[in-house]
Amino acid sequence: MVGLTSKLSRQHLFQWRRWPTWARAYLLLLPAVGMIGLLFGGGLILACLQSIGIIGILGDTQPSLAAYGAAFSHPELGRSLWLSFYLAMVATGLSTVISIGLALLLRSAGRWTTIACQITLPIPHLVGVAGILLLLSPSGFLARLLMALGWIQSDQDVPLLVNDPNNWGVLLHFLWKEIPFITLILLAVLRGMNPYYEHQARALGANPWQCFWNVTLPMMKPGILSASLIVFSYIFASFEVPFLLGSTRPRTLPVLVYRAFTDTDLGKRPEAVALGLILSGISMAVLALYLGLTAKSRQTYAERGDS
Amino acid sequence: MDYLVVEHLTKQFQGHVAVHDLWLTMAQGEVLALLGPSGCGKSTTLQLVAGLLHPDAGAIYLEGRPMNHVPPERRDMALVLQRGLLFPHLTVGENVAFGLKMRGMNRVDRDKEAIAMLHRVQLQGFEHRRPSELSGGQAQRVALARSLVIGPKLLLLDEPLSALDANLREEMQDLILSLQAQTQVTMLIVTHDQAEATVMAQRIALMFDGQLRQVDAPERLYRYPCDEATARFMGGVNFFTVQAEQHQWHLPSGQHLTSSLAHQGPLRVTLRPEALRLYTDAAHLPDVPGNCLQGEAIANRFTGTQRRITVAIAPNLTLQVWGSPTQDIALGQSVWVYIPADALWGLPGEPCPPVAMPSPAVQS
Amino acid sequence: MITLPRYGLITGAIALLLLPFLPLLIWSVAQSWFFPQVLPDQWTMIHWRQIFSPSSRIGEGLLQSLAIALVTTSLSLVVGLPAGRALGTLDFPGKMALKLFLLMPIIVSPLATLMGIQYVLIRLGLSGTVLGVILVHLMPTIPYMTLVLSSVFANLDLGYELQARSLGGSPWQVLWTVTLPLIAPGVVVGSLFAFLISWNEFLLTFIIGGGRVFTLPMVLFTLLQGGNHGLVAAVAITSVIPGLVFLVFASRALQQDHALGGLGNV
Repeated sequence: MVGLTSKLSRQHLFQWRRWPTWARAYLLLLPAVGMIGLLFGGGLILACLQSIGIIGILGDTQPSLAAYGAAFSHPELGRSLWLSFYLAMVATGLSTVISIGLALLLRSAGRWTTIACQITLPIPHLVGVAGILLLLSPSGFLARLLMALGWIQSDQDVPLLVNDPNNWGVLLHFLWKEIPFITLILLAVLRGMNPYYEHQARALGANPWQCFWNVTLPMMKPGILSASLIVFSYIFASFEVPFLLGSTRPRTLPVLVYRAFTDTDLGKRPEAVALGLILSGISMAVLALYLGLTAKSRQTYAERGDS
Repeated sequence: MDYLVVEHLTKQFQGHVAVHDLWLTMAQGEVLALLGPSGCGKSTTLQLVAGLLHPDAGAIYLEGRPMNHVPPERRDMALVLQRGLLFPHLTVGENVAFGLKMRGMNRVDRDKEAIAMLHRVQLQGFEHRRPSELSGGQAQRVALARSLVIGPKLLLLDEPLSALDANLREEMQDLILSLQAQTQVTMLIVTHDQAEATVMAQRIALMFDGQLRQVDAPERLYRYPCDEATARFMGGVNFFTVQAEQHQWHLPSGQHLTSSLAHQGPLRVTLRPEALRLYTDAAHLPDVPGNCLQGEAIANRFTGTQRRITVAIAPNLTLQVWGSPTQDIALGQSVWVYIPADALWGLPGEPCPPVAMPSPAVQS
Repeated sequence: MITLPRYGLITGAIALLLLPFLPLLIWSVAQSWFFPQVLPDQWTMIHWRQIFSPSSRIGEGLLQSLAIALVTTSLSLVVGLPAGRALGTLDFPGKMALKLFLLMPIIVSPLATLMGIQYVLIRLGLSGTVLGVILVHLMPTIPYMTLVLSSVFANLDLGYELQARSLGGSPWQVLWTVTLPLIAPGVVVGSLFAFLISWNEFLLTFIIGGGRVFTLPMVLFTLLQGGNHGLVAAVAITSVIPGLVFLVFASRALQQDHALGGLGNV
């Protein structure tokens, strides 16, 4: 019996090995692609159908583009879109620049120092929101400290940092949360880089700054772009942080979608879906932009065997 | 005056001594090979010279100028590493021009120089290619061009050819040596391959366990090694101990050998296997002063260019004789090993003091 | 050489990252802490007792979050391993496109998609159930898992597998005794990310759970809109612990750069 089964399985595998590579690859990818296709692809298609009224949450609907009309004529759309974009851009840009510096500092640091710098990685965003609120609100911990030091006279003197029109709280939260994330990725990129490239550059006459600018940074570039894409997309689509820490007006686009979605009037649902689809469309455009930007280096690095 | 002087160089890594009290000098235009087994500290020495590592003790002088506090980019040395390490984000031309760009040369001039240099390494027309499109040998030639284009005072090569195929390696050796001859650049090569060191270098510095053992011309290292480890690294295979009474050296088995060297007392002896000759018939032994030992052939290895025959002389003495590939000898056959009197070399047993200047000619 | 300013900067960065935890820690044990006081004048454990009291439903949220995160992580591992293997070791037409497709859920805003999914889940009776929530949590976790594992597989020397096969190992034996131990650090890192994403998730749970699946982020979101600072702080600290434990547990695996390199190579 044992002999038979092992012979059978070996034969089975033998045939598996004789499958063409593409067939094996597609079979291995089937669960993941199927799952994402069903959930993400299916969800997206159903959302589109809802937005044009082919299907409705209540059942009885007429096909129409009214939802898009409502979405595009939403009085806050333009400002919301700009705010979402601005927050994602500034938070991503600042955290990327700071992360590059931090990653370079941490390059030769020990494991526990590195872990300490990644302390916010496992912290849920809502915990960060709670911490920032209790730290930065007008009666928060920072205001108390400043008052005890005699730097301010009353809570009126504290600059408004949460739910403020400039969204300082939101930006600070994302810096606090995303810098460790990007740093972690860039550290991996840096450590995966052969240090002899930098030795080579120094020996060829590059001073430390020239070496960073001409060798280290260009070699980190794919990692930097890739990490910023992930972070930008996350911040652009994030809801709970701007909802709890951000300005009351204007609101970010995800907050706008949330409001339309939770509206007691279910007739507003197609409009919520249409707004959501606008958001998705913009993220896809950003992805396309990223692909365009990296097309060249993608080719170069795909060909590079060592790393 | 010595061009490069390395004094008392010492470097430790976490308690492990990588380089210990190393003294070395090089003349301008010299090619010196730092030879040793992997992990002996030769690459560390190279990085210390290049300024990529800081020595724990000791000093390095180039043209009499102390280098210890000079950062690597101002040492005017250039480095070629094992796999070329061309910057993957730059084209071949940009790679070659890199050092010139760092020195602030404008684009037009540096492109011109890079193209001229590529021409000299026989890679004309390659300037717009990506490093990923090159073969190993081409990449190594670009790396060489990149280092030579800045006109370095000292060219440092770290195992530059060990990633290449055997025949490509010889071609590259010729190219490097011809470029060296044209530019007269002073060259320090790190290698673990004694054949490569012998071909390329005017002098070899042999290094074991972080210390220099012997610094000498290649042929002298072959013929007059300072100790058994050096002799073995240079391909020595025959070792035995004798009791010497001036020119008469007595073997434990009772036979004696006549040497051109004089010594008194016990002595460790080495014999180059290619200096020996083998005779199957006592009647044909050469009629010259020398020694003949009779024995039995116990192994016969054919290497293509040589035949390596092991002869058992006495219970505790076997000798390898490397001779013509056409001289085939059956196992068990009785043979005579002819040992010229000047082939016997008694090992001093202690590191030789470094020879300061390259030997002008091979002494015999 | 330049170690002193270097360590000064690193220490400063760590201090800034830790700063928001300070008011959380104090609030969680503060009885009354009025405005200009730097420290509360009365201390209490009442908020912590409240977390573990059955009436608060916080304990229930904690367990539900943990269960959802663990199941989501395991499922994405099962799906991500073969996908990572294919993307990391094989070359086939459409590879870039498929990788990009798998990446979409973490790049493209999920809001509209969620409303589409909700439409189906309502009809399947899965809206407002733990199962439905786990399903949508797979959307962001599968991409992360696949990215990490494909990078790990790309850096795995397949020669080890061939060696094991030639020594008589069956495919399953080779998988268990050679491949999995070799990619273990990548599995740990991928699982860490999947766990953290699921543990952290608010919006997906909110829309699909419909308020009936009560995870810890849901608890915290509700509390944050109220005014009980003490309880907010205690719940916040509680929701930090599992992730922190996982991080420490994974700290050695995080040193393995190929795993994280996957996120730097989208």
